[in-house]
Amino acid sequence: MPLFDEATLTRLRRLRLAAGRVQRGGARGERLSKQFGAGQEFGAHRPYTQGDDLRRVDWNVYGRLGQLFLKLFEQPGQLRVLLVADDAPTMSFGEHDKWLAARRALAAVGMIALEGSEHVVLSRLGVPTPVNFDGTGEARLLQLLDEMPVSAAPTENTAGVRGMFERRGRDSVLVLVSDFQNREPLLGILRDARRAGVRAVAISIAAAEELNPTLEGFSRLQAIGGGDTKLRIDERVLQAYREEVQHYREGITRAVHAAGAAFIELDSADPIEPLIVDLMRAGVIGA
Amino acid sequence: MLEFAREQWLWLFALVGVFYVAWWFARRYRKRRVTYGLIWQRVAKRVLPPGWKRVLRTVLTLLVSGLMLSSIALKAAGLQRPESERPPPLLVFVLVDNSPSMRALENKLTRAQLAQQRAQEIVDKLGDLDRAALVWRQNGQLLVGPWLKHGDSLGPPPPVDWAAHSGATDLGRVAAPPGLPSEPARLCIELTDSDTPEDVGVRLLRESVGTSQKNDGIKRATYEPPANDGTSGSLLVESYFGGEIEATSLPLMSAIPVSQEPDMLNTWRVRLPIQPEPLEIWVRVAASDPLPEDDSIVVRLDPPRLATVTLCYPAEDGEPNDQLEKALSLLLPGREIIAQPVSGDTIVRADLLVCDRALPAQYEARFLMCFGVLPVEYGRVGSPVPAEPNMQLRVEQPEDLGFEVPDLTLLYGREAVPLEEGHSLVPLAKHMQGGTLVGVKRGSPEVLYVGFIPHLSSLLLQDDWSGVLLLSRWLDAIQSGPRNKLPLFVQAGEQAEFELERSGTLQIQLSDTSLWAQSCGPREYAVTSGPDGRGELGPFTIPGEYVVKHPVREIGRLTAFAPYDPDLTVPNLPRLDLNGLFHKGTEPDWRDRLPGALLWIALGLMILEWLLWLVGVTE
Repeated sequence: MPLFDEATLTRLRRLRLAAGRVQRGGARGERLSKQFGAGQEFGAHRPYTQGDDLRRVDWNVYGRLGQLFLKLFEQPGQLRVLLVADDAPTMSFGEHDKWLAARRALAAVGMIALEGSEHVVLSRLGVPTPVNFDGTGEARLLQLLDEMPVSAAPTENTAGVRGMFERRGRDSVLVLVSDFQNREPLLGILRDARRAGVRAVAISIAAAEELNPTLEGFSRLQAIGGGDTKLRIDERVLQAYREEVQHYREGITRAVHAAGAAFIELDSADPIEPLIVDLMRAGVIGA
Repeated sequence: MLEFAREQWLWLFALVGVFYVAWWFARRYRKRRVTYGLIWQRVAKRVLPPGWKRVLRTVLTLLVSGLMLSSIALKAAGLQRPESERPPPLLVFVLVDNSPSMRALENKLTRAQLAQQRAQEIVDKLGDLDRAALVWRQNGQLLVGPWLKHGDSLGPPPPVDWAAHSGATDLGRVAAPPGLPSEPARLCIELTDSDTPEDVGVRLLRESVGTSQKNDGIKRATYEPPANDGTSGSLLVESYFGGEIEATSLPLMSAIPVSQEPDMLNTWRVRLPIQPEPLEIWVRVAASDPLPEDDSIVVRLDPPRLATVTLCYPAEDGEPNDQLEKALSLLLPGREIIAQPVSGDTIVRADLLVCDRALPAQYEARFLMCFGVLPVEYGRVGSPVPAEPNMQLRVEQPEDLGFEVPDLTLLYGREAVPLEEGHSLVPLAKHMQGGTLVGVKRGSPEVLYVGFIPHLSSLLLQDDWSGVLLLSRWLDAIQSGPRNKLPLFVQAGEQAEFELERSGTLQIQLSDTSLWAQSCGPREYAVTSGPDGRGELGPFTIPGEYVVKHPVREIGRLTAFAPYDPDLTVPNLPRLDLNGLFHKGTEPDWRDRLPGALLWIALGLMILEWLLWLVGVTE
């Protein structure tokens, strides 16, 4: 299933990130060139595709690996958008899949960033190596997100993500998408981002079945990620569950805010537009 | 060790297993994939009671359900002790004596009713597998009623059987009711007032009903025709013990004099009065006794009904003809002859109106004897003529006259008054010139015309009896009533003669109002007379009053007597212990109590479960 239809893509391409302009105080205005990597500071490698400028091929890498990679450089003042997906197994849940909603959110932000000639770094918690995108990487970003799987087990090691904050922290915006069911590593990321001066936005995705389950009768509840519970579910049990979930989510909200990040709650069944609106409210996106 | 009466319901025990399987399926936990595993675990801790409470509740629920279902299954399948431990079923023949003496009253209830009550007690004492049948006699033969079980209701007592016992009956050969688990034992309980045991072919236990009592009653009754004593005859009634006899005329309930016969033991004479209407006399023993059925009879007869006689004579005579008055007294003994001079406006009312040359202006009479005068509606009298002996014409006697006409040719008179032509009487004697000197009309009213004036003729002279004979035969004829001669009383077991006017067939039916109507035996007979109208009827099985019809019209009634033992003795037999007979060895044991006990235990556990929930031990 494609992440977006053509109409949504068109609407997304009209948007720009507001964070960069704010950070740069509007002195530079729009970037002069969409050519990512024309600056002085090395940013990242990416595989060569047909049409790329052969002058930017990193021949040293070719000599070592035998494959063509382009050498990308970041321009000074260019905004770096860090897209981090929580690929915990609990993300693959719900009639309206939370994982699909998470990838759509990241894709939307990534596209908007790329359309604004910003530098985009995509990472997921279970994979330590991030992937960089410049202004021409929109198609590749969408393809990568489209094919991105969840991991088999929740990830506690977030060193790969935190490593992205060590360089150019103040030029970066972190967009973290998760269901926050394993919240401690995620809150750690957000706290590290704040220390590194990275603006952070946490998007919490929940499925309707999680917030308001319709279970009843004798049930053996097999939690994704482990743990069996036997219960005869009736309205009293459901009420207790809803109270517990609400309490938990309120705790998440407080903790995210305490970590200095904006917090957006998203239903996995929601279309992408409300998220865009919320991102606008958070000052991440401008029209 | 365990047996079941209704094994077709044993499958109900499978319900217990089905219940547990269904319970297990209903309680099966279905796998659900969820997130927030830790939250669900917290919820479980919050809402679930401790494990031991859940186990307690589950165990109680399973016990209650299992016990209730088991109890129902046990009840439906009929848990019982094994065949070898149970006594065989008992077939009880309750032989109820229905002889006539069982109609005797014992303190407002008859012996038959007491026996029926006792029979009902026997049926109520039967065990579940025991059966009883009422046995009684009908026409002398033992009759076995339908099989009864505990709780069945008996109907009214069987009808009285008057027939003599005929032979023995083997109740051991009576087929047992179907469905009994084993060959039943047989027992006969006889409820009787007789001291003679029955031979019934099975073990016989006897119990007496009632107490010995004396019973008076009418033993015999005979009718004596009137003997010129001014009555309609007499009833001679004999009672067993000479108890006083009373008699009442129905329907007015007027007492009739009764006197004891001096020369006949225990016999009373009821003098039947002469009255215009047919007699219906209720004769009974005055003192009440245990058997009222044989204490009274009702006599219906049609004796001579000529009670009042008025002799009318011309007022100018000054007094009636003495000879005629004496003749009437002789011919109608016991009646008062009222002499009535006739003037212009004389009104007379009598049974017999005798008109000696004088006819009252108005009269009301059923019989008219006219000398020289005749009411104009029957004809006119002519002028007097002299009549010499042997000068009268001989007249052939008409048929159906009802009496034999004497030879009247010797009658003579200085003046005889013949009837003119055109009269409506049947001539019995004619003058040589053709006028009717003696004529008669049968029917209502009866009319006799005699043209010979008593004091001017030889009519009442003794040298020729033909005149007096004519009057006598006519009076007998008009008082003879029905010409069929039926006996008023017969001995039930004997035959009695009767005579009909013509040959024919009598229908004899037991009256519905007879006190012995509820009896076995034929209630209706057809008796054909011989060509001369004579025949015999009886014997009758059921005593009582019978209605005689010929062919369909009631022509009379008769009463059949049954000679009966006046001593209603009852043998002193001990009262049977029914509990010992039917309930020995059938006390319930644990197998009889198990279904109920399981239900009680289940109920107790339900209450315990409820109490535990109430105090918060379980949820």
